Amino acid sequence: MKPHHRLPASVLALAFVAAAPLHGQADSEVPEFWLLPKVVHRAAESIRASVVTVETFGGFRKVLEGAGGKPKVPAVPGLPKPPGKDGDKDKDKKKGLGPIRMPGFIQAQGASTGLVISKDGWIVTSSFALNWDPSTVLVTLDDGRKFTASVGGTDETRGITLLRVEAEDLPVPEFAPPGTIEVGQWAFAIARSLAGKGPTVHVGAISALDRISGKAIQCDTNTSPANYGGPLVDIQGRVLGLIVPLAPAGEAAGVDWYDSGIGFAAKLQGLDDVITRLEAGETLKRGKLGIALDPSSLGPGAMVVSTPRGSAGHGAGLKKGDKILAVDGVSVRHSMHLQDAVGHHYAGDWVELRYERKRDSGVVDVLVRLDG
Amino acid sequence: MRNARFSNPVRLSAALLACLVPFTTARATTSQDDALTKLRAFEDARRQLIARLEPSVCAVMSLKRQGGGSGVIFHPRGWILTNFHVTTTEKVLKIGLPDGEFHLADVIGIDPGGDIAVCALRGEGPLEGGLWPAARLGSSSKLQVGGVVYAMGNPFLLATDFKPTVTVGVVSGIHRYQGGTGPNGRNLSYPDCIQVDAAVNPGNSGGPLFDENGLLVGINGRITIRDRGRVNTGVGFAVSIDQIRNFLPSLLAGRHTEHGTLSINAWHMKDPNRGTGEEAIFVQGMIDDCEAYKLGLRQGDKLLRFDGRDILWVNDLARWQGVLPAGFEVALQYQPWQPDERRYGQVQTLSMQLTPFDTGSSRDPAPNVPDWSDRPDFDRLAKEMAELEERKKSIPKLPQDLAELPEELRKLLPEKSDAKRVDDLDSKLQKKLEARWKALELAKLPKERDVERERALFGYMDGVVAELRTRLERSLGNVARERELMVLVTPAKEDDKAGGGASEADTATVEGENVVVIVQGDRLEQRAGSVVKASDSEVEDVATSMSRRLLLDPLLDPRRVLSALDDAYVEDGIAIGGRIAYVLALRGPGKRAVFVDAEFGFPLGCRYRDPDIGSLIEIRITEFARDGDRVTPTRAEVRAGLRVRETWKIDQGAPSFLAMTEAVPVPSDTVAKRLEPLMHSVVKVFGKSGFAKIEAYGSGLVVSAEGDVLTWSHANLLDGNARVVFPDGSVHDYMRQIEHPDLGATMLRPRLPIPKLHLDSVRSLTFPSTRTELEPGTPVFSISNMFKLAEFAEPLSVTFGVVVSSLRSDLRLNLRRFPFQGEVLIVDAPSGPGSHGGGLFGLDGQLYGMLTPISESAETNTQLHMAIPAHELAAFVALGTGKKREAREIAAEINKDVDKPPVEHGIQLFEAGRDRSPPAYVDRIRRNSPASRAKLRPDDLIVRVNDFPIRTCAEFHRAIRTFAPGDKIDLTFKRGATVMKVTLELEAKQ
Repeated sequence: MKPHHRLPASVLALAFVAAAPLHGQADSEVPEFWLLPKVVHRAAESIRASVVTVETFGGFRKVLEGAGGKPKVPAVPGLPKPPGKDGDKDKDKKKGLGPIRMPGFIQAQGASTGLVISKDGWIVTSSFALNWDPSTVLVTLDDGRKFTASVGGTDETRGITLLRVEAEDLPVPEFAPPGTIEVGQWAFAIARSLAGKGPTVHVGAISALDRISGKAIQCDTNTSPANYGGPLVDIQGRVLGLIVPLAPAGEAAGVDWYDSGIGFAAKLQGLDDVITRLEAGETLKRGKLGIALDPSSLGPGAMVVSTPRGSAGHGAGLKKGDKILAVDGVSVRHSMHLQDAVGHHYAGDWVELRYERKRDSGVVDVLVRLDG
Repeated sequence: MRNARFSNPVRLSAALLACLVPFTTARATTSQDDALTKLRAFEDARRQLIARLEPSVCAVMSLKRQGGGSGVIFHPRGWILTNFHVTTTEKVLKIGLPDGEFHLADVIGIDPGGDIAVCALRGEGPLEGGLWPAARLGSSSKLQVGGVVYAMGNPFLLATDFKPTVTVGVVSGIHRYQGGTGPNGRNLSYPDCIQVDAAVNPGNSGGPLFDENGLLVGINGRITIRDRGRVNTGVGFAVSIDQIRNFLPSLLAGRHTEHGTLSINAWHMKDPNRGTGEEAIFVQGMIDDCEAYKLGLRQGDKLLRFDGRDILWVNDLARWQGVLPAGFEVALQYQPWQPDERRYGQVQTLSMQLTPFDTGSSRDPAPNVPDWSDRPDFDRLAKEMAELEERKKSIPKLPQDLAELPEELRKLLPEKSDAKRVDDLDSKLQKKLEARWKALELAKLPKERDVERERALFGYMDGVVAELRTRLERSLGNVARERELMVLVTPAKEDDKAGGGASEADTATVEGENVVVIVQGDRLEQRAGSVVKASDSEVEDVATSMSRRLLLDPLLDPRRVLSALDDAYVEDGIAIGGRIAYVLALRGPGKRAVFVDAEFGFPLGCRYRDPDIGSLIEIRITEFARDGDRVTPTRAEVRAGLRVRETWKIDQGAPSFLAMTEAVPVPSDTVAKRLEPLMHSVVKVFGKSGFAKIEAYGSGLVVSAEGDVLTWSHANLLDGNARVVFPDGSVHDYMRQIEHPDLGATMLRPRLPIPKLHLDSVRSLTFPSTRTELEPGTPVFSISNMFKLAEFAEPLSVTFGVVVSSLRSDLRLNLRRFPFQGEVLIVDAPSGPGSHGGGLFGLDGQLYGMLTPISESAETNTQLHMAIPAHELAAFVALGTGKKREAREIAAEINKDVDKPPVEHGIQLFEAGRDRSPPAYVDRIRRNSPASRAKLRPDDLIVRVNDFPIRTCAEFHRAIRTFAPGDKIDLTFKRGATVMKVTLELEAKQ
């Protein structure tokens, strides 16, 4: 018998994670929900000038990646499945022309929302708004001024696209310092996609911090085409991120999760390099090694099971049976961790891989240029 | 017993009064800053709470299949609760913890009927003593509708770092009965579950539901979905922790648990025997030879109470028995129907044990746990297994001489053959022989065992025993030191019907201590149906033997048990009377075991093989007296085999035990108090459907003292009739009085005056006649019968959210454009089928509006939760409740001024399009028209009519239709890169 079976009760008690619950109520006579209206109003007022309406006119559906423009939905049991092949025959004929359909969702051409990020006219919005590849993009400011916008670059991993309008002295919002964001805090979604008098507000909380390879925070605030492109803000009205449809699988996926309590806001803080590239009109794609990993391995390390010819991994000399130990000096825990570590980069980035090959019993470091 | 630290009712009610003061007072910014500071305090507390809970939440994944779910560590020794539909029948799982790493866990016990499984983490945890961060169990019975809850887990397997997703919501309903099917189409009901509006999605299964204090109150396992596929719709269900507690001893013992059932089929119906119309619960069927039948219950009998609780609805019965394990003893009170006399007999109570309920899952194999009673010598076993590996490698070769082959192999040889050696045979046969030989040789070797797994499992069981030992020790306090073991027991003998206390004392002396045996008889009489009677002398023998054993037994000499517990294991859970206990068995001969109460940790009985009579004897404490935190056994039951041989009254001298209860903080009831009166203003409305996919149920608002009901004009009201279910469960016939064509509202009037008794269960709402400006972000509660989750008197579903916006928008309802042109309320409080007609309320109980069915925004093609503002309905309600006017008259008044004459603007758009309407580019301008005067030109792109955004030609036409000749409209358009605006005065169309 192991010695620790005889543990004093006090040690056991310490291991319970919520032994002494905390209560904000002690400090406030007013229960929490009753405080919401004023705080939400204040937050919405402080950000509203930076939140703009984005309208698109004309254009045809962009041919998305993947067959028939359908989002790639992972074939994981328990996840929503894309509609069956048979029912989609007609849609496939019109691919590139018909409306954009996700499981349970058809994209309309309604207004969307954008967020001012620079005084001199740069606005960031959800790429979802531009899926139609519109001929005209119209931006309306809080003060009623209207501008036609030109479309800048897109970061496909975050689902964001830049717009540019010829305006000066636009109000740039305050951003929440990344270190201050914590799970469980309130998260308000502010948008102008629905035609109301002022911005709309959805209220929820931060669910998790590092999702989609660390590029997005997750919230249970209802997110949908009604607020994509708008900011997710904290109780002070500071920007936490930009609301976008995202899913682990790919660019356009994620809309089918609208209003499900699984929402994402692309992180915008500390992205100066990325913004510069987007201002230059670049399209940034997710970096890939293009290799298959053994999902059943518990780690540490990630086991390679195949390296298709032409993939970045193949080019770097990786072979079946190799175990990838580290990416850029960070130890790889398991295959999911490796995918995150690589997915954090863009196509064309160089990463340093360390792997172990059984036969050679050696550890090799290689530099790999990631595929798109 | 509410702990003042957590909620002070006096102070709270004062606070509530304070918030009734409108928020729009002077110096708004100061009060806003103040609110921000206070809200931040709440937020900080929650952030800290969640950060502390997070390490206990895990991602549960199969080693073999893709997919997975969630789980929660509920004990520092690394025990995990999850759903059975997550573990299924697998033995080992990989567990992703928020440290980012995978760990292995063994599946220990499964409860397929309750959708629960328990796993144990292998290895040592990160905390002192090798412990794991664990969530603390709370009590689901303390939950109240409207209370804040946190659901945590790994929805859609999003967490690659295994940091859980946290979703926040409120309790929408408690004690929900949800029938249904589980994996492989088996019956899997959630008999008494918690309904929450915190987002629960696929992958959340098995994850924890915490109350606002961070206590584990349920395991999220099920969601209700809509046409959109498998995503959350604001309805999640969690198996309540109180139910799980009932099965925990069996689960920890590594069992496949069994749920209990009365095996009777009861209906809520009008009296089937006399046809009096009286409604009650009647027995309408019984499984042949079930326990209840044997005890005298018959078809047609009227059921009254179950374990002291009135049975008002059939769901009550399903709910109460569904959370109990087989063997649990319940008291069923009923009135037998006496057909000969055509009347009901005297009220009877039968005391019976629930029998196992076959969900079909009994075919699932039990988890593959080892025989706990036989602890192997692991070092030796490991050595054996290593040797086995060697022996496998050194299997002797197939003898070449055919004569030497064993009989089984020689059968394979061709009958006519002169071959003498294997080499002489054809190669196919050679290979076959080779394979068979190998199989035969391998079969001779000992069975292979996974030593690592067994070691881990026995280590786990040692932990369980250590835990129970700690609890037992604590409950015993200083029992043994405090007193000598002198006990007075009173056996109750069947043949003595004198009853009424001690009549006759029989004193026996054992080891120098007194045992007084007094005969008493009420208990056995009650059990007459189930007890197989022993002869008097037999009873006498057993009684004497018992009385001696009682003293020697671990039950009353617990210190001896403790010393024996070094070599013990948990064999199973057991239901003793109305309590649940662990069967803590001692290894070695005698089949000795002590029953440890699952809730309090005190001994509830014991078991041993009696050397004198040779059978297994059980002593169970069936009743005890409770005084503060001490309990004293007062009655015990002696069983030999399955039969109850004796019941004993323990009069004096029994040791008292410490009933350990932890002070569980009670969630705040602020919101619940506010919701309670509102629940009496919303009713369930049922109509006829007959259409696939159109639900025949909805909700309604009580708008007059006579019980008039305002509801939504839904297809289920096509024939103008409805049945309305009041909050007290009474059902009333209603008919349509009037219908509003634009608002989609219908007034229903009771066909017959409703008796005061039932009218008292509802509270009429008043509709404000003036508009209240509701800022986006204003908190709201929706109360409705969404998804028909509440039946009869069960309270409706409550969801929480905020006003998203009040707006005029292009909305579709049931695929048709919603004709109402005023502003509607869009909220993010979830609603669903059946929500229509329900109420939208503010925090202080103000009526904000009536819920509509889920509408669809034409602009975004997404579904919106919507309500018609209360002030828009005020006039209609006033018309509908005023009885003097004819419905037709009222309808005419409502209908006037709807159809507008066509207008002329002079714009012809470029309308060529295939799949959809193209952008509103001007193609031509008619001469001498409003447009030509406003200097519009071909190729201008129209983007706005007043505030209506125009993206397509169709939208332009739709917007124009809402204006009459003479109206002025602002037209915003884009010419080249500039955006311009003109005003047009519309003319009458020629």
